[in-house]
Amino acid sequence: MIRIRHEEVVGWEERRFGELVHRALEAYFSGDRDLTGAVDRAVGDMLPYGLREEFRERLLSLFGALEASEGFGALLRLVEGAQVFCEVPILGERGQRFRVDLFLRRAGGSAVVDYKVSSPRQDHAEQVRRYAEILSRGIGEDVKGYLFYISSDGSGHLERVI
Amino acid sequence: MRSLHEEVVRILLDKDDAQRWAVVFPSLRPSFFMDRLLAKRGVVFPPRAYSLKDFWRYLLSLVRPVYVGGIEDILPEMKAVWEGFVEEFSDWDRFYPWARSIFGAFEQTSLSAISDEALSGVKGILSAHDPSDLFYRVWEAFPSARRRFYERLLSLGTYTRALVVNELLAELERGFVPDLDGIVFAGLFLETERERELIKRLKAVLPVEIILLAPSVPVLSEVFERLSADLYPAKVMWVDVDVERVNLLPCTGDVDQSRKVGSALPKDVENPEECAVVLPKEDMLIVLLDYLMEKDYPVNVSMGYPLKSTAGASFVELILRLAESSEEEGRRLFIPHYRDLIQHYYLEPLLNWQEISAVLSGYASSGDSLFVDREELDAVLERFEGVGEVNHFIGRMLSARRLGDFAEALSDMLWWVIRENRRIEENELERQALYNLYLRMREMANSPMGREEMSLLGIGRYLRSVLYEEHITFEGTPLGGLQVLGPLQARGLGFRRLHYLNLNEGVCPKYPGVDVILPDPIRGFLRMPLLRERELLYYYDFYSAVALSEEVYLYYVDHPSAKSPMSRFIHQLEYLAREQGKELRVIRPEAISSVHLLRPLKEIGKSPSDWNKLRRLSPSAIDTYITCPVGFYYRYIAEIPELAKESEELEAREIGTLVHEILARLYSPMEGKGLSADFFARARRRIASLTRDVAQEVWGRRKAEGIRGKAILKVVRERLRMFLDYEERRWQEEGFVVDYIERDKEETFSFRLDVKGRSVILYGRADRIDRQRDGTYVIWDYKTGHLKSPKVDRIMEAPEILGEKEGEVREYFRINYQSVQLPIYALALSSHRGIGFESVDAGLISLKEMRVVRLYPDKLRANEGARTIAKDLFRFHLAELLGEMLDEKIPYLPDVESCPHCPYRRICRFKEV
Repeated sequence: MIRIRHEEVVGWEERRFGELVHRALEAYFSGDRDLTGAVDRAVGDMLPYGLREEFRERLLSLFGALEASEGFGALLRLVEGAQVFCEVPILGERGQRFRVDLFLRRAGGSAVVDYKVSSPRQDHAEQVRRYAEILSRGIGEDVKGYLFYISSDGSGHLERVI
Repeated sequence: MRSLHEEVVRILLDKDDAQRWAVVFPSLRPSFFMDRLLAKRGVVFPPRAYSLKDFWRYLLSLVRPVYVGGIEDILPEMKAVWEGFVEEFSDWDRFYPWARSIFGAFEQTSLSAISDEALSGVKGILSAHDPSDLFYRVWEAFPSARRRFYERLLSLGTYTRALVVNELLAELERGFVPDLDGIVFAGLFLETERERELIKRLKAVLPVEIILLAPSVPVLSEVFERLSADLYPAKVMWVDVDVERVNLLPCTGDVDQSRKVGSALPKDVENPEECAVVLPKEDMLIVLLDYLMEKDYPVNVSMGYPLKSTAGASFVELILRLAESSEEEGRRLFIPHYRDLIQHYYLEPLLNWQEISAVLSGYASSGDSLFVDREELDAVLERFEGVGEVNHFIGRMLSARRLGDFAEALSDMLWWVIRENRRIEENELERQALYNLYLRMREMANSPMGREEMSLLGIGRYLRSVLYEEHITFEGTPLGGLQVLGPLQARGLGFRRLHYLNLNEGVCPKYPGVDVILPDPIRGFLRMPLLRERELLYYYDFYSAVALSEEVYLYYVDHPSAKSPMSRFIHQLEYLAREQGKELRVIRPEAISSVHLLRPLKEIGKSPSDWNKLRRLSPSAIDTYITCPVGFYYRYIAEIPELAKESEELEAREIGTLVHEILARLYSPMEGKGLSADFFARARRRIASLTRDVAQEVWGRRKAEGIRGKAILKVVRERLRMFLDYEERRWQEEGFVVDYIERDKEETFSFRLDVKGRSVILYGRADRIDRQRDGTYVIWDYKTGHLKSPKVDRIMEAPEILGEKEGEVREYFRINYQSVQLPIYALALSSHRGIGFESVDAGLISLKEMRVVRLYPDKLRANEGARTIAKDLFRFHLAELLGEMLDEKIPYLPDVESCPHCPYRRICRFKEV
């Protein structure tokens, strides 16, 4: 009955890169949609000075490809016209605190998006469904759920879950 | 009963949009309980919740990128700055022992708003304290180095807590207003000067609510009154400690405490999350969990488990031993260490270790050395699967010249183990420990510190100090299960049942550490909080949890084998109970009845139960009484160990123990015989091997072969050589014969003194007794500290103890005797052996300064009549002093002159009266 944090074992570089991508997307959508600025913000917040250049180049290259991908275009279209909230804390029924990557609020069409930098897994969709349910309870209307997958070559794929 | 989080929820529910508020707790734990209450009220969008330090970072990050550096980002910058001021600090081995303390002092002085000018004044007061040259130079450069250090960090975009706070203050001054509707600061306690200033500044631009939770115990009340009245208006929630809800559970040991908690908890409870177990001794967590597992309900652990208690730490230790021994032998591998490594839990399933061990044993016995070249080892073990990989990683580590290269090779090895060793998957704790270790090594390899050049010994020292502070996190689900917490996480939380474990001194509260750079005299000069004030945090953690909980169970070890006595917290609660005319549910029969630890005391009355402890007295007990009767009370009546002394003098004591033991073994064969030049020559030759053997027996092999152990042994060997040189010279001059050598530590020499109708046994332990050429017997004690002996000629010139006022007998002893050890030794030897007093003398041999002091000065040594008079005077004076000690009308009075060096000053607080 005792649980130790069972983390998925991924290499340090991969793990760190995933965290940076999340932070950069947060900066991108909560700021003025400038990818270079968002990348600078992410590396400045999360990395010691000796690593910033290397990871900055990698992130810029990834986001360059991502920006050109069809999936990212779909995500931008979803965001368009909505009130955007990044890294939103929400409470489950028993008080569990979750953090939603992207919550898009618009009359009659609110949506939640969770970013993933790993391969698709069954529990990803369950997670988004849970977020959407909680948010629906919070705003009193249905909320759509999406997963946004980013692969290592920079291609993006937006998948509707609910 | 109200809790901190309930009060916060009440405030938030009054607001239009709680999501637009931030709530700041000392740690994040209470926010989980806040969230549960908010969810019950239907709240989906909670406020932002932060610990204090994360909140400052969050606010500053609204303005600019903020990377808060870890120790591996900070230390290289510290070194780069200090190299310009202190030449020795360009060497990591010289700098590292200072680095963390100096960094701590930078942060503390900065957060306490101590100006450069005030810091410059410190060197002016140092001469009075006779500092070392290096310490003086560090303080000389301190203000400039601090300024340069923070400028440098800022230019690199690396922040520390102090830098975040100071930059945030500057931003607020420039007009920054956080995009929040308001802030609640809940349960903060003793935050720094700069942080209090930040709260005031924020209050000027935003709605800010401050709630302090104040347990009603005197030692904390005064602090809360000051905080709430002088610093900022705050809402103070006073919470009474109801002693009728407190139960004591004496236990026989640590495991017994876990067992008792397990059986005290009901088999199933409706809301297990309303029960909590607080465990200050974190390495007992697994034992506790074993007992809790027998229950049917879930358990939530929200404290960390020390990495040092896992297989991961032992793995790193084996690698470091291998690396360190190889560095001393031209990077060849020490076969026994290599064999230990391949048998480790991480590697053993991946290798045919039994056969490999057999091959290694055969190889070692066929050669003349236990060291082997790596290439040769590869060839010998070529046929074994997995050895190639292991040796490849080891090779990379041994050839590392930089910390990062070593950490990277180690992380690659750990990654290999993660992927290959499937057995680790079966043990969640070890699996997580291994993964944490891998991540930590990778961080280190990629950090600025990773680029620093170091010897393998330096790398070992650094890795041990850093890794052994790491913890494994458990998954925190505060809303489902019995709560297992550390003391800090329990702060400000109330439970239906609270089980608080490990309530023994030194564990709860912990002994405070020693601040090398900012000791109390410097803190006092800079008007910074003294180290004692830090201790108030422990008081706050403990009493806030106890005061808020409905039923409280306090567990402590009450057994002769206990390393430390019952915690002062329990004494305090007993005292509170007595003040209210009540009793705690379980009271130890021998519980101390008159400790007034909560309030500054004026005196402590004697009690009939003291007489038992006054029946047998050692010279050090009487010396302590002479110095301060209250100190004597704490040490010998209340039996509270000398806290500060224990940690500060540990090394000196370790050296002393070894030297005593080695000298006993060297001199034992000579008992009753005359010494000779040959004896001294042989003794010198035996020093090295005897030191190693005794150290391995006393400490165990691991410690004896570790870096610290080796360093201590070097000192021991040096001391012994100097001692033998000194002894040989003395022997040539005095021609003594060794008559007795201490073998049994329990053997004592004693005599009885009748005082006021009671008999008191005074006793001592002799290290050695010599017979001098003139037939005098000298009882010797080896000393590693200062030598104190009576001024016998002065005693004989002025034998009268004038006046009868309190303290005058002690004053006479302090001036004329300094210590009663030598007179008691001489009297005991005379009585014990039936030797006429005119034929005995006593002396101290300094193992540090290589000199002796004798009870009688030269001019009295030949005067038998004078020595007989002296004996009568010693007995008479001791009887006077013991008469005062045994007089129940004379309370234990504090002696203020000894306060600055007293190990009990933090609990006595007499100076504050």
